Amino acid sequence: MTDQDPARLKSRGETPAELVNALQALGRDRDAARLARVAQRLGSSLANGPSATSWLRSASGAKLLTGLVIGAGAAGLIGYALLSAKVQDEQATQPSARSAEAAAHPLAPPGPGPTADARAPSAAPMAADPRDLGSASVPTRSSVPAPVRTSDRKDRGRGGDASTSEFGPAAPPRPRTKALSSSPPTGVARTPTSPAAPRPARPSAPEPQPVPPRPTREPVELPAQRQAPSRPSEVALLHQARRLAVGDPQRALTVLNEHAERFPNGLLVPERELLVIEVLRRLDRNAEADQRVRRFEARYPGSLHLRRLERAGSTADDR
Amino acid sequence: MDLPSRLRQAYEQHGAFVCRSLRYLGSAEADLDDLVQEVFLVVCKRLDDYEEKGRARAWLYSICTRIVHAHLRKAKRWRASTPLSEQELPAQLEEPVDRAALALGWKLLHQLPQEQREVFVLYEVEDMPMSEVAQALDCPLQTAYSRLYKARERILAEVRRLPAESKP
Repeated sequence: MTDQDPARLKSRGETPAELVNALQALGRDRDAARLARVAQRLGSSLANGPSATSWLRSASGAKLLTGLVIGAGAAGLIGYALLSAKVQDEQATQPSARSAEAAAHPLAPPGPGPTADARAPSAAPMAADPRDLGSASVPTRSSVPAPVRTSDRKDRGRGGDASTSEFGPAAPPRPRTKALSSSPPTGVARTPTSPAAPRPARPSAPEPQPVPPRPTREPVELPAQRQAPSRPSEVALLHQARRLAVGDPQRALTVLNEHAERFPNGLLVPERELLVIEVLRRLDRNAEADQRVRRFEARYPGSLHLRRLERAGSTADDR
Repeated sequence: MDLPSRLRQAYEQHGAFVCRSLRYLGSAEADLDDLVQEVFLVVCKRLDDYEEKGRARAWLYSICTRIVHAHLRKAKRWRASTPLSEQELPAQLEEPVDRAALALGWKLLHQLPQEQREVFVLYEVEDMPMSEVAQALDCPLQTAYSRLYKARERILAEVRRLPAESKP
């Protein structure tokens, strides 16, 4: 194949000289500064194992976002499922409810009549929508969406463990409302309250969750599997230091120093630095702590930890 | 560990090529560091593929393509890669390169549509054989040829249209 290739422009006599020069220059373009920079970064990320830091870090933001989006979608779906369930129940129970009420109050049929009629058209489009989505069309409303959602959540890694536990308690209301709405006379009164009940629980719950436990929990598995030596692992050392931080900050500091010696490029360097700062503050070595905060800022600009540091710093100043 | 040494070898040999390719593929200057790193992290994971396949550059190029596309999808927009001006170039370069020529080359390449530019660069600048170009771009050989000819026509027309003062 190679010998059939046409002569390259560079080597053809009739090619304009400036084009030849340009092509040659393009081929010699070698961005040495960038290559050196990236080589250094590659080295440090490979020191922690090939799949270690950068991917996780860059992926975590996206994961959080998609987790939130899925959460919102799930909330919407539950709402739809509940509403459509309610409508079906109502449609099923309306005649019997009417006849029951008519029997109980033969003089007051106009009262419930109009409200039921007004409800029916507004509820009809709600019932149609989920069918378009294709997910809530199955009449057994509690069984279909629930397993999909939890498995999704688990796949999301970080979001998984915390938010599935949020979803656990959210599941019970569904059977409850189903039971309520299937009992004919009460179905009318419950409609507005029951879909509203699970909703506030969801948006408020995930928000406090993300910040504190996650950064430590996620990387824990990786180094523990990889290093697993007789000496305490990177994580174990950090845990030890954290336990000591309150009662015995001095010893915590020595543990942290050991950590710094053994894992200069460890996965948990930011967490360690954070703890060092905290311990220094406890020891009233505020100047050193401030210096480290500045170094932390320079090294991890935009880190989520920074906000925590600022908070810790401001409370320390207040004292 | 022999892994890093093999990786280093690949990096030294092809780092500049990867860097250039990512640029031609539409990555913005600001993202280049990250993308070069990502490419080589992939390379590191699949070093065995790298040694099995003789055509390392075609393989690397296909990794670059995937990474850039994934990146652009994630970024949800093209951070338009604009041709670097002559003033922007100097600080970066290692070898003495004719900077005016390089800037002109950039300008010319940016006149081409992406598909033609890829073929043109791999063949005319990187000196890949056409069969390897087709492999790198994952397209039929004939397609690669036709893109090359179109690109050449266009580039030559652009060169002819250059104002007289920019000619040496």
